[in-house]
Amino acid sequence: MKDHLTPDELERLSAEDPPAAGARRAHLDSCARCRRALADWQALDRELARLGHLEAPPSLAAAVMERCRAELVEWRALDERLAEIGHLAPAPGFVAGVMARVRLPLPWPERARALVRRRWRAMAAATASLTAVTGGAFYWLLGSRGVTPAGLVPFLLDGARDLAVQGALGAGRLAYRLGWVDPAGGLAEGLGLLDAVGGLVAAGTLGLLSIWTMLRLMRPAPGLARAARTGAWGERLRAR
Amino acid sequence: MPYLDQTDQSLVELCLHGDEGAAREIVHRFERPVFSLIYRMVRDRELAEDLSQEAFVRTLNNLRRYDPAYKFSSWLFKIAYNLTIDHLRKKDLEVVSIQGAPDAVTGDRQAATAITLPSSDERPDELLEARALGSEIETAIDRLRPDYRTAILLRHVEGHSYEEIATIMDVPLGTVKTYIHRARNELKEALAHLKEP
Repeated sequence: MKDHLTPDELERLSAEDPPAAGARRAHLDSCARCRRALADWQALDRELARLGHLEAPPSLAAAVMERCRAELVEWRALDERLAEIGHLAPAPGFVAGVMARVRLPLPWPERARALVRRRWRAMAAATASLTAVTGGAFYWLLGSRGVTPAGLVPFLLDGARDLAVQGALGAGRLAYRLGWVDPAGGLAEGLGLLDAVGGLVAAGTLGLLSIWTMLRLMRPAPGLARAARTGAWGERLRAR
Repeated sequence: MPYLDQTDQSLVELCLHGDEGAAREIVHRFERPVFSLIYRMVRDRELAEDLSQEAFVRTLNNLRRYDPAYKFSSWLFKIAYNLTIDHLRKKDLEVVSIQGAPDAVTGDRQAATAITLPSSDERPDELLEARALGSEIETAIDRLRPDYRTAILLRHVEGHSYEEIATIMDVPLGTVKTYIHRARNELKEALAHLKEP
């Protein structure tokens, strides 16, 4: 006979009491070998079902607890030893060695002050030279026009006034030639008070934004504040 | 400016405005923890000082890159850890045990590779340090793998959380837990002979 029941099918059938009807049941009725196999399965099941708990040795629980306690003691001992580990100190002067190589970012006024502090001799010499050259040039220019030191201030004021007037006139002429005068006049006439105020606010905001952008661009880059004074340790590390 | 009362984050803010005193306080506050970690990694005082200094210089010169979402000490330790590991890898240095290199099987070889402990005429603090480093627990820690050692030191000496250690070592949280679990088991085994009878 072919198609005997597989161990899985026998196991399922042995769990059914009585075995359900179907193709497997029909095979079982006609196959003595599978019936014997099923009987063996059922006998094994009955034997297994009779297995009960055995008595544990009376000392088992105590032994387990003792081992747990011992483990706990070991872990605690380890934790205590780990807690004893302290910090070690670097050599004296460590902080100074680090600070000599640190370059903190500085705001630009402080950068300027630091620059003046570091380079004041060179800057003083440059200022004196510039003043001498400029003063000499002015003296020569004004002297050639017959201006005495006493008449210098009125001469400069006259010059500044002429310059301002000529500039304003020049700008007006230029605007007229470019055809900006009439359209601008018409635009101004067409503007209401709110439009004018709005325009001013917008222009002001734009100006402030420009200043803010400029200040952002002028922020100091890191690495400009300090020059390395000793740097001995860094050199040593690089040399390794 | 009372720098001692400032938090780490406040000190960083002050540094970003060019406050040198704040930078000095940061170095002073963390010099021992950072140096200790690195020294226990490389077991060479001079090298440890150089690497510690480099770690601080890199940290302070790159403060603009610091993300305040993280703890400052984690960032600093991350830089120190990476620097140390990179240096050890680059130079292919063997981390030498104070009792000699692990492959030292003969007495001569052990003597040649062991770290010399100072004699009694050296400075008292160095003597204490040598005693500390020569203790059973330090020796056991020294025998751990570098990543186990870092994890256990960050956890038990520096008191960092598992998450912070994961950030510092740039490994997943589960890996940190595994490192510390295995390191503790190895340490327990290594110290088992000291158990009270």
